[in-house]
Amino acid sequence: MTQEAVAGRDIAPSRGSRTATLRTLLLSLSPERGWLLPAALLAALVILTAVPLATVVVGSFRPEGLPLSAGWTLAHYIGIWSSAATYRLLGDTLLFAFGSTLLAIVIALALAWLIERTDVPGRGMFRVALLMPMATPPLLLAIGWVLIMSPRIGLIPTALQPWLGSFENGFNFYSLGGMIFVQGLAYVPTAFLILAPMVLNMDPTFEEAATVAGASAAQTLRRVSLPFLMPSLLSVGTLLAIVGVATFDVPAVVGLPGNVWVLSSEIFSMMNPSSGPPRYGESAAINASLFVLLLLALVVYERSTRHAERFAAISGKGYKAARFALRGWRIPATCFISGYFVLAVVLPFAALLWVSLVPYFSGFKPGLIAGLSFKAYADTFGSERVLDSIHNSLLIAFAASAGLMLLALILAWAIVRSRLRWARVLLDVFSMIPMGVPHLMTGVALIFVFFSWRAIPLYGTVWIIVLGHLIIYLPLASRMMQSGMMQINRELEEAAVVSGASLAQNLRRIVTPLLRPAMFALFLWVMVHSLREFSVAVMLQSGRNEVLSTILFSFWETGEPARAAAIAIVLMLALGALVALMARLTRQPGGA
Amino acid sequence: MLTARDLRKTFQAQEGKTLNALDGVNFEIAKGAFFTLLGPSGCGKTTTLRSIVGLERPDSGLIEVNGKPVFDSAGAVFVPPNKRRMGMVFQSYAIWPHMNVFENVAFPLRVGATRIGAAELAGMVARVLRTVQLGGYEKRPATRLSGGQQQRLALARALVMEPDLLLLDEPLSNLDAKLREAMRLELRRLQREVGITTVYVTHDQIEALALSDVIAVMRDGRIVQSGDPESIYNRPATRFVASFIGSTNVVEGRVRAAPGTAASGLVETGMGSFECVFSDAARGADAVALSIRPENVELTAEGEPAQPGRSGSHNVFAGRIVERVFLGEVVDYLVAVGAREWRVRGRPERSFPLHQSVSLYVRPAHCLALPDDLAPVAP
Repeated sequence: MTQEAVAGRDIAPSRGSRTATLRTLLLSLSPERGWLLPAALLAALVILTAVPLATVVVGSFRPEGLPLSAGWTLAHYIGIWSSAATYRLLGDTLLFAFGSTLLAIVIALALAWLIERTDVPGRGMFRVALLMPMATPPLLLAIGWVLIMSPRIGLIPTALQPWLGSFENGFNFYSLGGMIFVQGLAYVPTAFLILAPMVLNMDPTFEEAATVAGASAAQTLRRVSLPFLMPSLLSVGTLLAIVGVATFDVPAVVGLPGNVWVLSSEIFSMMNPSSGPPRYGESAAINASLFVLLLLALVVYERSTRHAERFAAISGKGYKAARFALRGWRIPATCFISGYFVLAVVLPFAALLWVSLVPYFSGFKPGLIAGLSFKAYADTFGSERVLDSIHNSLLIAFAASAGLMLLALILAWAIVRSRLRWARVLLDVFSMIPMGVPHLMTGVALIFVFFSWRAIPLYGTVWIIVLGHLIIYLPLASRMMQSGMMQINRELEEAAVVSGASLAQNLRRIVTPLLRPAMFALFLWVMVHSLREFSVAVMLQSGRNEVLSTILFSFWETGEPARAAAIAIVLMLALGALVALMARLTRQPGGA
Repeated sequence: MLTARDLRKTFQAQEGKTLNALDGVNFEIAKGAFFTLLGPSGCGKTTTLRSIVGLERPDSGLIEVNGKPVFDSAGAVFVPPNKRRMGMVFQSYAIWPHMNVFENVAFPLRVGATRIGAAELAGMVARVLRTVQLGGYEKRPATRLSGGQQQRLALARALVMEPDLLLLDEPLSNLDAKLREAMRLELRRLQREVGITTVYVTHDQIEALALSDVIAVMRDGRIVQSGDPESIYNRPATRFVASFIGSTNVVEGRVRAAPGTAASGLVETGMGSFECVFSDAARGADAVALSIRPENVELTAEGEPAQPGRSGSHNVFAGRIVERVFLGEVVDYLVAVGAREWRVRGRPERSFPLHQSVSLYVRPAHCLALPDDLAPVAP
């Protein structure tokens, strides 16, 4: 049966050209080689992410500010960048962003270190509990702390009044300091989620070498561990600063009453002036300038993450670092960690609860305890306006979650499985654009788009908010799904194909069941974030599309703190339940 | 039964370099044969296998199954992989973790175009599970199977739709040594029993020798030599094939007397002159590589009379034993000859001690002159 390599023979005669074109067309539909699916997805992404961006940029060059109006001008940019007020604004914004970032990183690093590298008691519980602040959105955290620290009627000043006298002319919480404090607390969970794995997976041999060479624990920390973590710290810091420059929740609640303005407050007031029409042109110019700044920062972030990966060496055999024994420091360490929870969850929650139960808010006086009642809850949740807003919130959250789940699934499939390099790169880039776009700017962009194109009747409805949420949560949804998709060995799908499955059968019987945990986690994640989202909702607010966060803010602004607090408490409990559910579903085996 | 004609494929690697994955691959496989693609990593064997099943698409060429083309670049024919009706066992087995044994095996029957009744389906699944000795395991979750069981499950799934062709992509590489040997025998038995045409990909030459009817040795996207195991082992066509299959000693040399029409010629090397048999490809060459297998080197202690059968002063050289390993039925030696070390395999009854000076002799029939396709290319 000896076979020799056969030299070339005549190939079968070629077929007709019509069948050839038909086959080529059919091939273009196949997911791996075809360009039809990636092209369609890219078109959808461009409409979702690039078009809104473009309308703002175009609008910034229009005298009237709206993209479809006539004429071109640089007046808006000149006006903004030649005014001293802008630079003061920029300065305060950067102070706010960097200050809160620094605070968050210091706390998060300490927490990560204690939980992942020492034997502090209760660390398993703490690790899970650090998800809970997701149920305390920055808006509610801010309101809670204002209730606690407001100079005249805050809970702490009034409680301490008998001993320390009036605080009215003393410490003012409505300041940059107050804003940094609240925002910093709000960032800690995110920073922790990124830093903890890096701290956990540090190569222990570097520290061991230092110890063997004679260094004490403190010296090892300072001279070896910290420098190694520096690239990761810088990368997390950049990410948080990017968010901090654009965030609006805390500046709205803590900054505005104290007349502390940042860029986001300025943008909001331009779009919602107390008198006169919205200043579209100028707000577009600020937004566009802000976007350019953030884009630069994102480039810095990408660079620094590349460096971070170089340093975070894990020795391949899964050999993890030993834990430091705290001994005498156990109690202080536990107090420190608990202290964070008290500041970030317990106190604000308690403050809101108190305010929702007292007949009228005038600080903390023991005498008021007798008058506690649930009247505010009855009033609030009996009102049609509030019930409508609950309905809107739930509708928006479900629609955004379901829509993103589907979109992210197809997107991740196309990015991870496509053989076409341009498809993978372009789809990923475009799905990441919203990361550099402040949420307020997305709101502004959507106003521009649907105000200009009235033919599509989305302006002022809940669906425009759904669209806004789809856009702002797209980057993370795409990444989450890609990560899930990459866990599925390509051969599992190839085996299905070779066994005779069509594309639909493959997706339905193999990919979706295997992705189910990731899809469910994504659904819950988007739901939680959509329910607590504020910037986009407040920018797109109209009489018809109030959601829980905007109606809460409205009650707060119009001097009905009890109603605001009642909604806040219910919202926090609902979010807490969702977060707990999510934690159970994505439970990962923790370190020893 | 399966024909491949002039398959070519290039990949774009990073930094703009093009990789020649398939550089003109041609072969024909007879019905019922066990055909192995053997070669080092990157030689194109897996690309070839995946092209047969349709998971890769060559840039040009022809693949025909039973006379009908499944891929033909000239006529723009490409039958998609889910329509080729071939059974494939993947390197990772690709057992679906969210299904049990029955569902894994039944999958091809359920997604196919023809509807199969529940009773008939259950019967087919039970039958194939018995063939791979997994009978009774239907309800077991796929995640609770050992490595060997997973492999048999993958085989069952590949065979259940009674395909014309069975393709295996390095299926034994994930198993430990003992299991690998056992599964090798099982695979061979199974293939003979079912009689299915099989294409097997591996980098392990022992597996190839043990399992195959025909071995095609591949390198850099081409088939260098193809034949039955004994031909490949005893009559390698080039230095690469000789080195890749089994172990061998190689000496470079220049031709002093070309063989012409005779069987053997004379080659001058740094160790002396050799009368040797020339492979077809080496007949016109000036520079050749001599391949001498360790078991074909005859040792005599220095000072002892030469054994009968030796002719002339060719094919003889001197050395000293520097390493000796007793393996039971053979003794392996490492013999220092000048600056090089030769591997020699000897019988235990005529054994030599360490540091013994010896004379080495190779019969002309065991000395192969081959084209030197491993020599560094001259600048």
